Amino acid sequence: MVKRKRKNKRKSTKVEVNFHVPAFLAIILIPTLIIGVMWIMAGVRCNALGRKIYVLEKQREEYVKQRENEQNRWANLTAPASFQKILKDHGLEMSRPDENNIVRVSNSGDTRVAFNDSKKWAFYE
Amino acid sequence: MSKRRGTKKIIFVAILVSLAFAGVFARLLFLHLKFSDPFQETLQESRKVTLKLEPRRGRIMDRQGNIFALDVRLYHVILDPLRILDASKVNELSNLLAPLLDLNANEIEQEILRRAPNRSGNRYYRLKKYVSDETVSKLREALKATELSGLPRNSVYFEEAFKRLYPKDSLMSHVVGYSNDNGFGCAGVELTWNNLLTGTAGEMNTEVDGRNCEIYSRREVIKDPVNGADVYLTLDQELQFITETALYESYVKSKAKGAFAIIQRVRTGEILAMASFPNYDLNNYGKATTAQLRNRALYDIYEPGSTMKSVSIASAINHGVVVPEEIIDCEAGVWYYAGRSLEEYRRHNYGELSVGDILKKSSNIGTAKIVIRMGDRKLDEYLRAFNFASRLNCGLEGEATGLLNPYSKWKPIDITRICIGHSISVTALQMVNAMSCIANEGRLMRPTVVHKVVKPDGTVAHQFRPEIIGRPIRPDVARTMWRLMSRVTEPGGTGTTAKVPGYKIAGKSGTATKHFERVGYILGKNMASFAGFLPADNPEISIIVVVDEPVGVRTGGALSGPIFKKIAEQTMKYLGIPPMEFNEDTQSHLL
Repeated sequence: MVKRKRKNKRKSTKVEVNFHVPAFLAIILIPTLIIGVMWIMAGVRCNALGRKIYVLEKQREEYVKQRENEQNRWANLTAPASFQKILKDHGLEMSRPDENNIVRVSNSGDTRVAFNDSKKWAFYE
Repeated sequence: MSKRRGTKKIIFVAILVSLAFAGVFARLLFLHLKFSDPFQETLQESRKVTLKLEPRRGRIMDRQGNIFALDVRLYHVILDPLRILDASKVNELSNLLAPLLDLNANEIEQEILRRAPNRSGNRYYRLKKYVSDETVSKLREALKATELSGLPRNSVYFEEAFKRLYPKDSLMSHVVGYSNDNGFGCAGVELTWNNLLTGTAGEMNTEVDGRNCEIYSRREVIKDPVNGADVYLTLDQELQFITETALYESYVKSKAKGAFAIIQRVRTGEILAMASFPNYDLNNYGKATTAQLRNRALYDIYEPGSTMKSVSIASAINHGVVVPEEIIDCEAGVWYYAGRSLEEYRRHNYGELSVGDILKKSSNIGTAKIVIRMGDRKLDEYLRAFNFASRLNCGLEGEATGLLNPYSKWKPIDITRICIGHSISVTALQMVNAMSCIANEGRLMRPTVVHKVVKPDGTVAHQFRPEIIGRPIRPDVARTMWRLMSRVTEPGGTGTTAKVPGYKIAGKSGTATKHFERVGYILGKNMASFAGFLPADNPEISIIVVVDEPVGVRTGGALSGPIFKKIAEQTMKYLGIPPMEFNEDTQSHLL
């Protein structure tokens, strides 16, 4: 029995595409893509670091400001006039001790040694 | 046939897509690699911003590191009157701001209403300058907490600004000086050391996006700002306070026109305290009068009177025209020379006095008779060797030179007047430096107010080194003068009021009638001064006190002596200088 050939065979709708990306194009596109991605990532990273630097700078400024304010306050508090005022407010009267109430100690027995070695002048030197 | 047609279509589409991508890619290349583009430059320029990075002005500190001047970041409170008016919040906002800023609510309201209708005009109203951090925090909280939420953004905002603050207010005001709102020094150390205090501004290029926010990755610092150097003074806060307190008390009590005092360390020439009254609050320098702004210790010249006798007699002894043991006839109070009479103060009729007693009793005639032996030229040479009539360059601008005619222009009687402190004008600094010279065994030091200047990186831009600028008298003569001058504060001397128990004080009082241009000398208008050093047998510090035109007690011994005593007593305690064993009997060998 001879197999009957089907004449009206339905044509396949599938289309085979044999599209080959030229090698030279691939050589350009892939590294470009990689560089592009790296470029964007670096940009994002830079921006993030920049933001961090900005925040840290602001923070540093804030600390500097606080330090200066504190220095100003402290300098004001340690002014002799402020001390006097505080003492007066608390009803206290303070004065440097009389010579009779001071015991001076020196190595050689010469009182001048105590003076010459005194902390005050040592700082002055 | 159909297969070929389909393939062609796909290839066509692929080429189109590739071309589109290639176009985008090319555009990106153009944009990123900055090939010429007509809009590129305009675009770049509109995004570029050059910022000036402000340096901080250096601090001024005393020798112990106590801060006297520093820059602090504060805020200006800014209002946009138009926005406030549009939101109908003028009254509420004024009432909210007034108590916190210590202002009048009505005045704020009126000012907003006055400025707001001028829509095309300035929408920037600086309500208050230099507001502290705490106040700004309070304001922010208050604005948030109240019902002013309907207020548009930026109706009230705060601008940062550097403000020069002086935490010690008026203490050491004439030495520290002040700088104006532009950060330029206008007086004192602020002016003299302005270049080092100012620092150098930095510069930064950056770009901003469409919302005016900085693109950090485009930031490029061209030059870092260099903050100003810190200036350390030779002055000491405590000694300054001691001096100012003692001086102010007498200044008020004596109703004087002015008063000034200096403490100097004799071995190095360092100024430890320099006070002048009337003074002013450095934080409100704009309200100070010209008289308050003047540092009298440096700018005022005056006839020193008898304090000059110690210099004259030291010169005479050094020149060998007199010995301390010599007896001089003081002519019973009146002496005629070159056709003019010279009288003793209050016509004291001194007879024969030793050189020591001439100084102790402050005899005009005795001093004049000694100095005449030297001659005009030699006296002139000695006075100039003590650096009178020339600047000492102590590190502060505006120092006066003083007045002393060249000896060739002197009249015959001038020598008898100059040696007792008339016909010559000096500054207090010159006089205290001359005292220090005697105290320092004849070595004349350059006085200084600046100990060191330190840059922010720690390098020292200026370091004080003691500098000898002359040796007008020999050491043995200087030591003789210690003995002679210490007798002035002993019983019978003119400076007993300056005596500090337990210490030997060498000093000399001076009372000079003031000379006015076209009027001449006016009796009753005096310069009362006292200058000296201590301890007299091993001097450490010298002090001068001058009171200008006191009312009531007007002599140097009676008025300036007690101030000297107060300052000296406290200073000795503060510096820890012990008193010497003082035996009255051992003083008998003194002439």
